[in-house]
Amino acid sequence: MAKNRFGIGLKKNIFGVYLISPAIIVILFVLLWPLIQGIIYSFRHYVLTEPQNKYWVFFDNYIALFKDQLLLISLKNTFIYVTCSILGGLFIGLCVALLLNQKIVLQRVFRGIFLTPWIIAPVVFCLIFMYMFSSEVGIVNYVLQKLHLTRDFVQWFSYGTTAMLAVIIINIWAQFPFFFLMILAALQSIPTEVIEASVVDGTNIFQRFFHITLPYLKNIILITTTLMTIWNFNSFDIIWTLTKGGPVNATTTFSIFTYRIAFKNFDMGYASAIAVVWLIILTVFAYIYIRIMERGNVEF
Amino acid sequence: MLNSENKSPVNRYKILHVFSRIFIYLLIIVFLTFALFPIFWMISTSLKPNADTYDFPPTWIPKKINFESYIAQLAPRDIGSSHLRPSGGLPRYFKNGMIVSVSVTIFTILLSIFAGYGFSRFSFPGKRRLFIFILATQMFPAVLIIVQLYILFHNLKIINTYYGLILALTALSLPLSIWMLRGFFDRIPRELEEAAWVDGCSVMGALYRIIVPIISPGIIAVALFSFLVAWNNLLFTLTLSIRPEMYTIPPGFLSDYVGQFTYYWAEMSAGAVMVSIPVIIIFILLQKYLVQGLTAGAVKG
Repeated sequence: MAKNRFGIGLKKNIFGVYLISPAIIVILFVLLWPLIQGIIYSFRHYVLTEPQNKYWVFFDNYIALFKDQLLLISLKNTFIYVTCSILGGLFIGLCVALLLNQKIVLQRVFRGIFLTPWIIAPVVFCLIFMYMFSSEVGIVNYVLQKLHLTRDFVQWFSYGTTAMLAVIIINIWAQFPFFFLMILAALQSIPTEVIEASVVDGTNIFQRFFHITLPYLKNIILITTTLMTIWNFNSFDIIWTLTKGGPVNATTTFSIFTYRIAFKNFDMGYASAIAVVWLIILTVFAYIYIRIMERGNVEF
Repeated sequence: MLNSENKSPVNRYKILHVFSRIFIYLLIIVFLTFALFPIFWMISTSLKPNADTYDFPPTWIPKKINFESYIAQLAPRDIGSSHLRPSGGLPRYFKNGMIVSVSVTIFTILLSIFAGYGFSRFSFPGKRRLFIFILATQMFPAVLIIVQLYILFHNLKIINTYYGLILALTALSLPLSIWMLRGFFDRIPRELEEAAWVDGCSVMGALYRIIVPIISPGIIAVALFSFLVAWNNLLFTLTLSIRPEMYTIPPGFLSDYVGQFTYYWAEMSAGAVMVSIPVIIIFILLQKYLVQGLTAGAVKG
């Protein structure tokens, strides 16, 4: 790659560095610096309420963490929350995308409508869901009773399993639009001749889906799923608004666990250690994500 | 007889076609219900008197349209006053949210135009690594960042200020914005600005007069994206503003409506409608650009 392939002098290339630097400085200051500090603090004793009492503890925070039963609980909860949310979001997103990719009226209007859950602030829709899922006056319980699916009021946020279920349903509602958006865009990029040719060849709808559509969608599904895994790992708003990790840690994920240690116990050292463990887990997904985003396609 | 035998496969195909159409629309209606019911319920609840929100079985559509919850939301409330009803803080949250989100949008647009252009058009050592690093910031654990950012901003004394919030949220929306805009820049032929340079235009002049107008769809996408990031963010705004006077909408709603002894569902819903409707309208008008921005890079033919 020649530096001057466009006949631009070296001076202009240095100008590129100037152009990039403001954004880089902001990102370094707000995102990278805290990350490095976080890794350093994970080896220190630092409780915010006793600022004079700072010292190196090396691996003590990590040793304490691996003895903490909340580590396994939050690991399990994060895994359930992320996996179920992604599978549900992917399934509904795929269904809606396939439906809207048919020749239907008002396709663009429908696309806009299906995207709305994605743009409402999580706190705002969580409050609405809190009303809908409330045990005595909630519309969810009313409908479930009418359909004879439950006999009594379900106390959604009082039991671990139902609280997790509710949180996942709400998260699926919030994020299926993103899956739908990406998959629909990929569907619309499939050349129509390919589909038409296979119709002429007498394939049925399922054969077409599995042998033509799905291979075309493979890349986009991988990209979106990886991105959503990272975002769901970071997901904080929905659980914090609805349950704050309760009842009795049943919905405590990694972010909730870290946040509580940091801003309820003010133990910044310990909180940093939790987040570092989480960072290591995420690195695997990060690697896949970067490979994809950088090249715009998947090659392994 | 002969005639009808000839036609029958066509008829069967037609009937099948009609049935599959009906089936498709039915399924769309099912999914639409799932997507829109909470929004319908929010609007319906906001128009009921608060007492009616405790009805069981619930009333689907308000018996009488009633705007008292909206009026209650707009009545100003003194900061820190001992209030029984939580509503009245909304105008302040709205103002804070607007100041922060509009500033974040402006800064993100400026910085990501420069950075996206720099990444698209110039080569310098370490460029590829730097771009990967920018993408990698997306998966830094947000809670780890916020813990340290809190300490950092505390030492800099910019907790509870607009500056702190704007700085943090701009950084949060920058990586994807740079990625989107670089995609838009990459699709413009280089000859365009090279011609302008030959004509004696400076690099910045060419960028401003020739390139920026062409990528305006990308700029709209970035504007919408960064506005939404700032407007909807809870974690950063909750942590970096401790005093209720500085709350934007998400932390404001959280402190007003979660964990209270009595729930004012109608007023809460009215507030939810009021903060969501502007965003929904802007989004519906501009969604095509954001869709283009997000999918163009990820979907390649």
